[in-house]
Amino acid sequence: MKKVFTLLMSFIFVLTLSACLGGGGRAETEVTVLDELPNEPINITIWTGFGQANADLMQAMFDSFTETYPQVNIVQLSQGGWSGVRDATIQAIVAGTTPTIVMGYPDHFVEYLNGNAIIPLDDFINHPDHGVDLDDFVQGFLDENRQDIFDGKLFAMPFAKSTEMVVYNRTVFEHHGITFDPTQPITWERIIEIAETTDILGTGAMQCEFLINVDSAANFFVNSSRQWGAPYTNANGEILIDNATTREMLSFFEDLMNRNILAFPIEWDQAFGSQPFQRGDVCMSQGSTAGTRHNIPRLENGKFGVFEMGVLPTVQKEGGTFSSMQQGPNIAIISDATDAERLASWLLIRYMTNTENTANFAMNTGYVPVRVSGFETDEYQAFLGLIDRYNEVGLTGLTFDQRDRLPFVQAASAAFVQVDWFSFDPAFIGRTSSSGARNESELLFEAIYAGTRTIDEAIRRMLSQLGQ
Amino acid sequence: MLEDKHNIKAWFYLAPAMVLLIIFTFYPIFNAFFLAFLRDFNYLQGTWEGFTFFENFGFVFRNPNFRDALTNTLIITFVSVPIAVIIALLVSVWLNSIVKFRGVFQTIFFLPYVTNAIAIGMAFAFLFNRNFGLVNTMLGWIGFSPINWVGLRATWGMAMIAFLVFTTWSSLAFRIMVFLSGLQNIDKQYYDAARVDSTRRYRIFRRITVPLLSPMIFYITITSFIGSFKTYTEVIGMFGERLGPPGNDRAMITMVALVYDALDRSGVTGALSEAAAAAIVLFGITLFFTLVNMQVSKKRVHY
Repeated sequence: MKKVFTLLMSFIFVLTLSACLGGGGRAETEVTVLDELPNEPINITIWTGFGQANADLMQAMFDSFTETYPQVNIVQLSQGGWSGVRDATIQAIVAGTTPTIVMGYPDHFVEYLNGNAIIPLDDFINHPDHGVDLDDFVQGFLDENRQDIFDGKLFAMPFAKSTEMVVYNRTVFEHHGITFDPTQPITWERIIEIAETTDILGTGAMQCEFLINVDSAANFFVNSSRQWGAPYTNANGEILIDNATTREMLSFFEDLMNRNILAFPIEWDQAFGSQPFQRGDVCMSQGSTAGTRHNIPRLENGKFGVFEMGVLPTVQKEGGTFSSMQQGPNIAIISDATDAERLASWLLIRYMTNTENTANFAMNTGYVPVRVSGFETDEYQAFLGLIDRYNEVGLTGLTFDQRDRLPFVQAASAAFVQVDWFSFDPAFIGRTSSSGARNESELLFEAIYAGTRTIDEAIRRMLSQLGQ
Repeated sequence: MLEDKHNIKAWFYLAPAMVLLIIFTFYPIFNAFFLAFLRDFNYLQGTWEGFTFFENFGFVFRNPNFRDALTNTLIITFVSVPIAVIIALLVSVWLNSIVKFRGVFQTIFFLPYVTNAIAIGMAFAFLFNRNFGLVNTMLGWIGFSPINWVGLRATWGMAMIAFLVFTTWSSLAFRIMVFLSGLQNIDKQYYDAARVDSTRRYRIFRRITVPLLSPMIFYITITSFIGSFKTYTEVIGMFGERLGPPGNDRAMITMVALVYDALDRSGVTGALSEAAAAAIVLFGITLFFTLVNMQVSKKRVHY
């Protein structure tokens, strides 16, 4: 009996060792670009974090792509959000069950690269037949994917880029005699002035309990740091928030929170402020341009009924550095794919980001085109032109179809105004990662909002959570 | 010769269970121990930079959340388990004594066992809602003002009370079921004899029911302690991924949440070894309290 038990235990031990020693690591991948796509069945799986509406738009793109390349079969699978894509991909890399294409953020790609699981796209980009002209892409979007940590290589192409915007209850603001110029950003100082000089804040009939909601406390922290000129992180993974400027910024916002000028969705036990905005609990809400459709007023029984909505660029600091968050997923090819699958994937990426498709996807979603030529197409310019018509004839002068499209046009216009201020936080990986720093910055702001920690305590806690 | 033959047969019959145990129990345990001693283990590549004895355990003990996680886990275990065992015992004795609607009540008490913990957690978060939760409504009937149990700015204390009520309630079902089956196996003649002697009901409970049910009570106590040390899903169900009320993140963090926190960073070099080390620390704590439990129970369990 003892012998058998010893034998069994030895077997398990050897099994454990061999399982752990077995891989030996995935070597950095050589990329060979085929001259043409083989005429044999090629299956491509693409993982996204999109919801159904965007998945339908993607499917239409895939259907038209496979008309040109009938040998390619494309299956898309939503992982229920972008962090879901990241978690599923990490597990899939280890299990060897990766998709062919994965969408995500540089934070995620840095982790995949830690397992050599994605390939550089430069050889495809520079290929004489299959290549693309990078000069036509918005440079800021490329820079996000070409950070120092990627050694100057491009591991992902921008696909659906967005920024943040402010939706506001035009009906209530105009009732108080307040109008905004949608081509200019509103500043925090102007918001304070509105709160102090009008009676828009309150629980009365044409009043809102809170003036502005901010959806993403993480984006808010990162972007405000930039506006204030306060250091946040660097490419070496150092967390630089323990400084006087960050404290000054946090004190400024703490004061606004105490006066009901600024709120986070946790005020209403929500993840986003779209419902409180529609209900009339808050008069303005800053969130992603990609979330436009969720903010459209449609609640008949809300405090203000179906009110008129306006859209502005992200709130800025007067006299500070103008800055808006650049966000939205990029698209990469997984290394565990054959040369034929890689080429088919690249051709698909090229197709999805061509002038016509990037403009079309942008017009239907609230994202912005990733190519300059996408902005310049007649269709996209006509799409943006709806704003002029709206300014001319007002909401009632628009057709029903135009009214449906208006919020997306407003969001696109607000995004367009901000293109020159787009910025991103550096991706890094060490004992912690840039995505970990973002998560902690969100919790820091929420704790200050709730009043459960002082600014100093919140800063100390964030540093200690990130091992610094 | 005959014995050898029987041995082979026995091993043959045991083989399916053994294979499953090796794959799904022994291998993961050994692997966790192995991973905990690797330096800079890269999960995505399966590579590491040699072995280390204490480095990964050092990360666990130096984790700023370790003390809170251990405190919360111990409180959850040492408060909810005894209360739940006593309530389950009393409910099962009551259920065993009634004739009418016994089946209906058994079904009601057993329902939480077949309901998803996340769903129950969400339901309890709603019950404890400050503005429209049933708990505050009922407290209002007896003159209490609304209490912020789990909402924005809720304190650790209130959140912990709400959570203990939830975990105690949700863990009753299985315990009641086990106790009830134990009670039904107690020979009726003991109770008949006690009745003949006009013994009081409390005395019958203390002198007959509890001693004869002691193996079951012991089993339930041990498994409940082990289960409570592994509390995690219930925290997610009630408080979400912040592991605490909004604005008070990680207030309800537990030891298993510490493991998952490290696992969530598994794309980062070394994080999986940290998760394995945290799991082993939890294993050690659970083993210690289980051994203490067994020692204490030795003289009190009547087989």
